[in-house]
Amino acid sequence: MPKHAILEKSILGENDVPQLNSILQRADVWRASKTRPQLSSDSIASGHALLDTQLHYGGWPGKALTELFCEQPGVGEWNLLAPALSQLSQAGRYLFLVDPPHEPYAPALKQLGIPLDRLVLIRTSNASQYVWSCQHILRSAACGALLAWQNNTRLTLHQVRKLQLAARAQTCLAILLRPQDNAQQHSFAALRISVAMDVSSYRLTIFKQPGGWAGQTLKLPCSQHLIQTALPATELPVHLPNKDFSPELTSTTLTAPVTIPAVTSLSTPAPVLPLSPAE
Amino acid sequence: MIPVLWLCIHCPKLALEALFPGLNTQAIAIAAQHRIACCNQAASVAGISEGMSLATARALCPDLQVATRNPEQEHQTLLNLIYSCYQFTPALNQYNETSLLLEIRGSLKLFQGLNKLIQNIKQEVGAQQISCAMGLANTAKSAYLLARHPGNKLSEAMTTTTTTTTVMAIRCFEDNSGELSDQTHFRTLLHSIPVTKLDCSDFIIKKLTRSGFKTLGELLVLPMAELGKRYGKDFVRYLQQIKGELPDPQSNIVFPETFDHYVECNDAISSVDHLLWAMQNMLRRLSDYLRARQMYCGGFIWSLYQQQHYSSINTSNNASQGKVTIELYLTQARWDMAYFLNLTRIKLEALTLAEPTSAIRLKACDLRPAHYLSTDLLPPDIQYSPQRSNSTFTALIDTLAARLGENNLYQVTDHHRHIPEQASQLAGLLDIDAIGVENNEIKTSTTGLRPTWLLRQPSPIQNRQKSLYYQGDLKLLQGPERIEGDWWSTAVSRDYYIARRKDDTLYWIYRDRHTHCWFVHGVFG
Repeated sequence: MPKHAILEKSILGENDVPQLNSILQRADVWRASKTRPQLSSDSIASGHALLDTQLHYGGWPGKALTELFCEQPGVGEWNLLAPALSQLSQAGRYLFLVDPPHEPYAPALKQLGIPLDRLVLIRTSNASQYVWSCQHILRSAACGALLAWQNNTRLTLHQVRKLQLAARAQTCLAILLRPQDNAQQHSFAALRISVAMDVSSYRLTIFKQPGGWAGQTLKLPCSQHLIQTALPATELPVHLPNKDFSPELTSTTLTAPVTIPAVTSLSTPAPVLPLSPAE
Repeated sequence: MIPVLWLCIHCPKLALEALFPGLNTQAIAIAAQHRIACCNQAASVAGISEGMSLATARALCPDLQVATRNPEQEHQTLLNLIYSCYQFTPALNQYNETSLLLEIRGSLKLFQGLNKLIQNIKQEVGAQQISCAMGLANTAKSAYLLARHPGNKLSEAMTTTTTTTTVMAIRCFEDNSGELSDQTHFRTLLHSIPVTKLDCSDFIIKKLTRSGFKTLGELLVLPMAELGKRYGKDFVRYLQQIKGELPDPQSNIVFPETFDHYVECNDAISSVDHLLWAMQNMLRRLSDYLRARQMYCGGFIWSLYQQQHYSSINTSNNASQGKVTIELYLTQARWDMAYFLNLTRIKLEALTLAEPTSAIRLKACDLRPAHYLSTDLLPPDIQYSPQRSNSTFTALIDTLAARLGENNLYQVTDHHRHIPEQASQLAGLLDIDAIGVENNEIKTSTTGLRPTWLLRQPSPIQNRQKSLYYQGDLKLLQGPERIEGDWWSTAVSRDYYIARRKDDTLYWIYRDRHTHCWFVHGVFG
């Protein structure tokens, strides 16, 4: 049990408020609840107001390593990071993706406001290359953000420590994306967050963060542009590419979408689309 | 007309220093035709002198290491010296095998006087571990004579830093303007040069000594016509050029258009550290070359020839045999030696050299005129700026490319194509053609929502009990968005939907309207 807790407990047990206040006036009494530090100039605003208030330094740590635990690609990692990435790249700094699990899709990145000419993809073949590249990127002044996926490579504690030390070189967003099972292990990263997808929000659990207590869980709503109405089915372009395309099939495919009620929100899933009559 | 001012740098121990730079502890001598041509200080302490026969030298000093002269290497060393002296004056050239001539009148003001300029030149020569003697005069030939002949006999053992000749000759000239101020002293210096040191054929020198001439001064006072009758027109012309009565044009060094430097090693190099040391010297030369020609270099190629194979480089038949090639291409052209060396080091670390290297070749490619950017007022780590970021960015990319290989760096490019997989492509980062193809903003209003991850190979979806199954049941949320096109080649007709799996992951899936199969094409991240 931490020292301060013992102190507070014993004092509260006596139920003597004036005495407590006089003790709390003392300069050498440290209270966990009052330790929220000033907004650090090194932190990078995440762009999500809710997340920024939960992080003691008011944003992503700028000079430390952050671990994001994602079970698989597609748990909202891009939407979570996009505001910060967009802000950094528009300031003229470069974004480095090391070993991304799939290919980032250019039109989507543009929709998220990330300029493509600031994006560099790097593929490494083993753990030593991976760590070496990340270290060099983190130390370079050109780097605005590093997103490193740990897919096949297993990182040792020692290697994560190396990355954490390299991240201290200058202010940039240093993110290590790892599978969930690494969350239980000890790590030198300053901020450790687990990300999971919910029906209409991202569920974040903060395991560790600099400047104070961790353990916060929060739900970030999905960004508004995910909820978008589709084109009306009646306006779908009709083009029959070849003649052996049977007319009945075409007609059912075209009429089929009309039977689906228009989807307005992701929270109300559409009924299962009837499969084509062939099945 | 302003008289020119010639500085002659004479390297008396070039034969030794070209082969063994900076070695002074061990007795080393260079032999030519079984006689000692040149020896280092340790050897002369042991009593060895020039012209001694090899057998005598070996008897005097049993540990003596003897090497044969390598004229090509000497020439290369002298050329290196010329290239690095190019920073002092553009008018310079090799005078003969062991000396070079610099015209320094035009550089006096820039280098703040004669003394400082000579100090700088001495430092540069000293940095190359070459000992030299200097002579200063208004004519090229007398400058050479003064450099060859030290002013007093005590200074025969010349050292790197100072020679009496230089000091004495410089004293005769004004520091600022370079005018000859102490004419009488200069004349006594020049006139005291013995005739045996003159730069003419042995036959004439023998004839002169037989006639009783001892010094140059005795010759110069005689009428030229009489001398011409006895010793020939050429000799008279030579004397007149020493006096400055006849023009003595000197050519200037012209840098070759390409940089191709080849060095053979005395002993085969097996350690990477030693290899890097040799490479550093070559890169310094490349850097000097680039600076002299005001060029940047966009890449360079190392060829490491391994034992015995280097002789076949010109035959080109088995040129690739026993040769390791390291190619380095830079994102931004530069001339920085330390930068080149760092990239070379990274490349070398990834390499395992099976056999020791016996020769190295450095070739520069993609030379282009340098363009200058003003440097920052603030030190680099104070503040971030986009311009600075660009050069640090290219430096980072070069470093990464050197370790990982160029094929492992990519960028995402977008194209105005209707078919989803054609709208986004991965391109090599150093592939200049692909950069910035289409920078116009896509009108987001007309296209639907796009996934952040695209599967390059669409992944098929199973049909299980009349529902879609892809590592879990899929439910359609939104759609369809019909995408059709490419009717002229492989017609594409798809209906795209956004689907949610049981674990709430969103997928971008489509139904191929030709085959009625369902595929996952992207993941929303």
